[in-house]
Amino acid sequence: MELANTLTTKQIVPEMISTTSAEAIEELVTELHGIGIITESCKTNSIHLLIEREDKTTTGIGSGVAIPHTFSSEVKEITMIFGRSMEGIDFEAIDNNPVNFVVLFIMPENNKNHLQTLSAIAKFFTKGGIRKKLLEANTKEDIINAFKEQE
Amino acid sequence: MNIIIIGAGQIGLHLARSLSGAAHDIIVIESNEKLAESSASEIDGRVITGSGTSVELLLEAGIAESDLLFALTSNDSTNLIACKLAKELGTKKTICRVSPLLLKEEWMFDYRSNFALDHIFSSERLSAIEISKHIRNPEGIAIQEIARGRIEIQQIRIPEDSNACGKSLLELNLPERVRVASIQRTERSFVPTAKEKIEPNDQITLFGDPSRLSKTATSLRSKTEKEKGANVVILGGGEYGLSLAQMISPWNCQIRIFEKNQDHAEALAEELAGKATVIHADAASLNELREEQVGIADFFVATTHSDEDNVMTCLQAKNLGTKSCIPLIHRTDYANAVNQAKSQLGIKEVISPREVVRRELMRFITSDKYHIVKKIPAGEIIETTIREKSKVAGKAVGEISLPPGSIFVAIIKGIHAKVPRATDMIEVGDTVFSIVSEEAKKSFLKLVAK
Repeated sequence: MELANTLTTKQIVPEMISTTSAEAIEELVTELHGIGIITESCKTNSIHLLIEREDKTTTGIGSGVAIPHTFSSEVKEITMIFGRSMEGIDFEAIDNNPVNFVVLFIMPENNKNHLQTLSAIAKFFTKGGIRKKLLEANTKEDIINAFKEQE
Repeated sequence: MNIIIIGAGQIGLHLARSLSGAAHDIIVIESNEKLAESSASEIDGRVITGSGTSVELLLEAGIAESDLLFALTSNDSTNLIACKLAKELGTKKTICRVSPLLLKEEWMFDYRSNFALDHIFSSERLSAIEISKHIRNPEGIAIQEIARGRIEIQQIRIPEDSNACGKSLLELNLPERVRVASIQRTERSFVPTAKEKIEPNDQITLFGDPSRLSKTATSLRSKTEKEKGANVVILGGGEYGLSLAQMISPWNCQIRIFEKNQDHAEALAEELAGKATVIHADAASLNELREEQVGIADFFVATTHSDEDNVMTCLQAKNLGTKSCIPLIHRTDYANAVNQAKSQLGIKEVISPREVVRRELMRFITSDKYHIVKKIPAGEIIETTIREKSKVAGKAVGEISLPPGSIFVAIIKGIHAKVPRATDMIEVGDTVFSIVSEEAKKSFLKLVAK
């Protein structure tokens, strides 16, 4: 899965305002609804499911990255949004580090490849330099370009 | 309680041994015949030889009537299957030991639901938490972490030249989620009000979010001391070393890791890019230690699988001038021996993963209404799970008038731990940690632990 081709500039939130994982989830899913990618009911359900999942296990995978994800019958393809927080968000991440990058997924319910997708994204973010480039990016376009270069 | 333990390795055996003599029925299942035989003589309970993933064997062990199943082998698959089967066969609670690798992938795949696990832990991560406590609190005054390191209790002594002297707690303007639990002044210990002024040599017990707590503790300690992380050298880049490096990197520590396997060192360097320097060298050699200037380090932590190497390199590092040396010692008998001689050896602390795990697991083995986590000068740290009968259930923290000398330190809802605010609700099923003085204990328990 290629982030640069999947994400449009609309799906980039370069300055997130949230400080906790629950707020971050709400902020990003609300944005997905705001730009018309998901319906109101999909928004409500997804926020609920994502926070419920976060209560069981953190999706903060370490190194400042979190990948919250859930399923919905209302999306036809993998729907995602990327958020950045310069101050860092408290996701109770596995390494206790604050999270600078949130990649949020809403996936179709019959998606069989979701583990492959998630693990590829996780791997992508551990690779050299990408996190630094994303922190240095000034605009939404810069962020997309950083993804492109890396891919 | 009826307790079944799968695996009589170092971890399982140590737990079984420590439960011997207590009023529990212990059954251990071990597949290695020799190990099963030798452990049978050491513990007060039955040892069954065979596989912990056999339905027949689990039934024979009385799984249907058991209260707890501990899957403690070093094999993730065995542990996961044993837990799943045990739950199907009727055990009340399953506790599963896993590798840190599995914990790292838990965000992708819901192991807990899929394998019916009530609790999951890794001995490497628990040990890393234990070591990181010593590193983050260089003054060596008591520190206690709760909720797997999400909240910490620290004690600090206020030096005479501290900026804080003469200021009230209100004026100190402590960060959100950091509180003062008690002040010990001369012989007296008390829970302060916001107006209380700090005096030199006060011994203060603070609790809260670990990163904020460290900053607060540093700023209270001295006016000259800037926040500077410790210089840490870790020997061995295995799971123990890696877990530790990840855990302490947020505290601005300068970290170097010695790893003798080249491929492994390279993979580690990539994984820890920007957080730690990985040195590919065999640090068992004195020359290597000298060359890398291990003597200037504040901490030398030896985490290899060899107890002998860990102790010996700690002694070398100490001789080169490292301030504090911490060896990991796997064998329980060795750990006891080194621990007894640690002042002669110049070792700061001995970490025994077996013992760390045992302490973590003991909290599942109690039917008591409360559990004393630790005694500290300010009182006891008490853990209680709120039941329906509790007088505080369904109330907001601000509405509850706790007896003087007691204070809520943490509320845990699911996996979330937080420092309680006045508006937070206490609900049935929550776990609450409190610091309770001796005088307050009786009335506190009456109120909370019903």
